[in-house]
Amino acid sequence: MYGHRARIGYCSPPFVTEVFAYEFYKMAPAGVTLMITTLEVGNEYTKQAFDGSYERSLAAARAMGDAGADVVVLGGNPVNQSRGVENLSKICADLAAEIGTRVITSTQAQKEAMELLGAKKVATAHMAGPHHVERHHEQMRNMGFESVGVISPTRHKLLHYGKIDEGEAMKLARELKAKWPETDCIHFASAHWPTAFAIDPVERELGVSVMTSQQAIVWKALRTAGIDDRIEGFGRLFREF
Amino acid sequence: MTDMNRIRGYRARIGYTVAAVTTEVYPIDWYRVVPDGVSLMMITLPLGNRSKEDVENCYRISIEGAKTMAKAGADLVVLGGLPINISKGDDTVDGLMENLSREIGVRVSSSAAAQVAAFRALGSKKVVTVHPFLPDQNPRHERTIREFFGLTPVGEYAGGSSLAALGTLPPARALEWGRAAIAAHPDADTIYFGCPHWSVIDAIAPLEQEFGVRVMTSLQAIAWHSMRLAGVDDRVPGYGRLLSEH
Repeated sequence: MYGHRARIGYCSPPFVTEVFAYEFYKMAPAGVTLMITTLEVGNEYTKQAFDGSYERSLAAARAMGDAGADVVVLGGNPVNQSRGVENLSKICADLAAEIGTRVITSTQAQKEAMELLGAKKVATAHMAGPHHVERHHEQMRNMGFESVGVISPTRHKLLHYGKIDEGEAMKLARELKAKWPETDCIHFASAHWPTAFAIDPVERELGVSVMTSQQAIVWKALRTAGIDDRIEGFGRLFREF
Repeated sequence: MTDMNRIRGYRARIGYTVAAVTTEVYPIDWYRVVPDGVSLMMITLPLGNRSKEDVENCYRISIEGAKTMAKAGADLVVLGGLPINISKGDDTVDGLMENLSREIGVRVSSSAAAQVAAFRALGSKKVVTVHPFLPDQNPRHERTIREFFGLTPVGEYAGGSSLAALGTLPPARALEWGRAAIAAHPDADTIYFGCPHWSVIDAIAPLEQEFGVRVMTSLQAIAWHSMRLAGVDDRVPGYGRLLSEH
């Protein structure tokens, strides 16, 4: 079968998902497949959308477990953080016991990735618009890191992230480093805009570590599924850990 | 080399409503078939036991999904899931697509329309259907070929798997089942593989060469039709006559 090495289940918060699957198959080695379920988050980040997505995540996780996923990822840092970062380990353990397969969250994947990268002072670029800056500061602090700066260009609606040019991440990284030169890790938040091909260039040019939500999710899912390949082209995280 | 100044779907962005709770094989095969620059926007539908209520719920979410994908900039929206598309009656699909397209301002197609066009392009007349499910689905497939596609069903081959297990089927199954189907029904001019969520595309060219028949699969037809409607006219080798000749 296609997923003869590992089958990764991913609950994808945006109602429409485009970029994630494309970048997944650029990163993952042959024999690893993605099982994807789209959830309910639209252009507005509402409690109702988060709650609905969380509930559908659980149903999707059960379907993925039934279909034979080796690991299930509950996606959406905002969705996960809405349950409390401190509660995520128990949520995963309980769900794993119920569905009989390993469960992780995107939030834990990002936290662990930054710990391994030795991140201390993190600067974040996101696409949700300037009015989400404080939320991103808070999310970073909730994961235990100093959030030195957050920027977002003019707002892109979540469901329009597929229209973002691949060069945007590089431009934002340069802006972050110029504004907050103490930054040791640049975080591209949200797994649904094109960031994969900016990781290596940003690390090389700016001398920082890079953690993208998408990269951390794929990396943690692979490692949890027992795929220990070191992968070139997508940053230190894949190459060294 | 990645061009950092353009988007992933710089040639076309195709929206597709996936008639399954979770999807695995479809995006893999999609990106094997389509040329670079054609992207896939997906919405998964909570299709469960295929009860009337279940299918109607999926139909409703499909419509909502189409509107959302249009707002997100899709060049074309494809409504997936033949049972969902024809849930309001076999003769309602064209009207649905027309009305929806007018409403959302983006061209709308369906997996059903793609398959109709594919059968027509291939000149199919006598069809043997291979599907991965239990034999209790044979009558539904037989009826669809006869009544919806207007073709002659010469037989069905049921693989005996289930929706949840589709991702576990290796590509060799489609080849084996296709051979068994044509051996049992040698009068068929076309082998039709129903359902785009199992590994079939690697069986298309070998079966066409081995038996001199046409092979049409749901995913192949959807990808082909989507590209052509979106103005991507590339001939794609390796996945059958439909993609390489039409």
